[in-house]
Amino acid sequence: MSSMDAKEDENSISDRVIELMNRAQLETDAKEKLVYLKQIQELVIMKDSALLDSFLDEMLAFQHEKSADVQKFILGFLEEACKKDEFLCSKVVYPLAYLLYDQDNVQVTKRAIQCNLNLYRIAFKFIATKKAASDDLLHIWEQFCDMKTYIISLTQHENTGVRTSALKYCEMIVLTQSIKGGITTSTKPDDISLDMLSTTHPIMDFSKLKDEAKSILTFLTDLTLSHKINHTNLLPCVGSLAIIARMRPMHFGIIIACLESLNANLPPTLSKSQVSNLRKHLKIQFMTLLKNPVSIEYQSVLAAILSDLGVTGNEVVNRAKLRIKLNSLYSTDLDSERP
Amino acid sequence: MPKLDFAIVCSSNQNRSMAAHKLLSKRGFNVTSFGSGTHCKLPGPTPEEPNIYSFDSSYDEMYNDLTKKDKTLYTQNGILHMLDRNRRIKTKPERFQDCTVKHDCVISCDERVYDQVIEDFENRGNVNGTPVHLINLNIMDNQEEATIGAVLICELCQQIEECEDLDDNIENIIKEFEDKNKRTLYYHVAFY
Repeated sequence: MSSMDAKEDENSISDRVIELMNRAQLETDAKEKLVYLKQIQELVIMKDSALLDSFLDEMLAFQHEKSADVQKFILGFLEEACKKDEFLCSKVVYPLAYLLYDQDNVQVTKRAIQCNLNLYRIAFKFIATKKAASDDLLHIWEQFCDMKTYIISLTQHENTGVRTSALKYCEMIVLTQSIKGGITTSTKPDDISLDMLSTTHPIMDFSKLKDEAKSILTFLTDLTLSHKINHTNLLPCVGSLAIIARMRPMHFGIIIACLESLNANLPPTLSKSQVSNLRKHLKIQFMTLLKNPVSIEYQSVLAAILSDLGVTGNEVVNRAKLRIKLNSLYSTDLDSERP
Repeated sequence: MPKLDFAIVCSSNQNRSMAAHKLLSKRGFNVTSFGSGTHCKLPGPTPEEPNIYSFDSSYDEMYNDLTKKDKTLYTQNGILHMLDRNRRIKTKPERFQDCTVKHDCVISCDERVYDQVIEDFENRGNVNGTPVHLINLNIMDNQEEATIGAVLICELCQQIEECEDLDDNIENIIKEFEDKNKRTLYYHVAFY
């Protein structure tokens, strides 16, 4: 395609976006409005991301729409825009804060927490890689930290779903603000951690963030053992602790102790069926943890808990063999890196 | 208008998940169905000789293959009838682990399948924090139980679809279903 053709193509896409934007602004029906907005997103993110910057402000203006579906769509758009260009996290932070704080609709609150869960990591990476401070960067980071405080407070919200999302957000904070250290079985494609932050960063305080992660982890373990948590929240909470143990081995011991204690003192508020459900999930999580190379130190504890959960000695041995295989895999990798 | 996306998962995406898929589609739900095994297994002339197909084989190909092998046997045991039903619903079985579409609720039809679904979510890496409700209802893998199971799954999906806020009400829905039907469900919140 010649440069003239490319320019013409870009103009025609731009004209199409302008036309769709006008229709979306005039449309009073939320469902129809969403149809136009989805088409705009497709054009400015998937088809021609050069147009993203040009039309970002117009798209963000839809945050003030009354429709919860439109607001949720805008949160999804913010995520996609920042995944495409991390620099945009500086522009989306205010609409994100608006949609999080100024909210009566729990569905939008949940979506705003999920959006924060993804954008916090993008903003963390974006700011951590900057060597010099600026008022703008400082302000963006403060906004994300304020939202963090607010979302952590939502773990006490009256709505179970809001609490579930806030607990998942806490897991992300512990992972992001802990060092990887040793062998992890991380499966996340973009595992962001404190390792990428310098201890002398001009904006982000390494020690403060690390301590905050520890205190949030303590909060999660305390909550897990508190008997105040309902069954629906307890399951993802246990899942989050297991993910943290697998991905951040430095926390492995604390988490095993917490889950061991939970297994020994199940909340008395649970029904018989919920107890059986929780025990099944503890079994799944302990079996997964047994596969982790770090678990070698805790093998006898894990074997005793698994035996209590009805797992046979043979199954434990087979799972431990998988760990040995993993260990040899890691040592092979390490060897191959040597000159 | 249906608002939630349901996935029904059994081992081979032939009997239990397809019986539920048919009924839920008929009732207007947004539903897809899957298998979680490595292959699609269908009964053979003896329990030691099952017919094994890859998930790439279409229901039509399986139907024609079994017709050639022993039309009388596979008509009598209902396998051809089941494959004929399946090919009217979709072209071929789908493997849950290969699915990239997000669902609101995943219902598995036995404990082993449930474990495989949970393992799959753990392998996916929980990147985005979007919650998904996983529920297991044990259904024996025969045609009669699959039909009863489909009705129960449909009742469960109806309760789920009708509630205003699923995340907030799932505990009650599970409890009411267990009490009413004298069945024990497994339940978990996983994340995409």
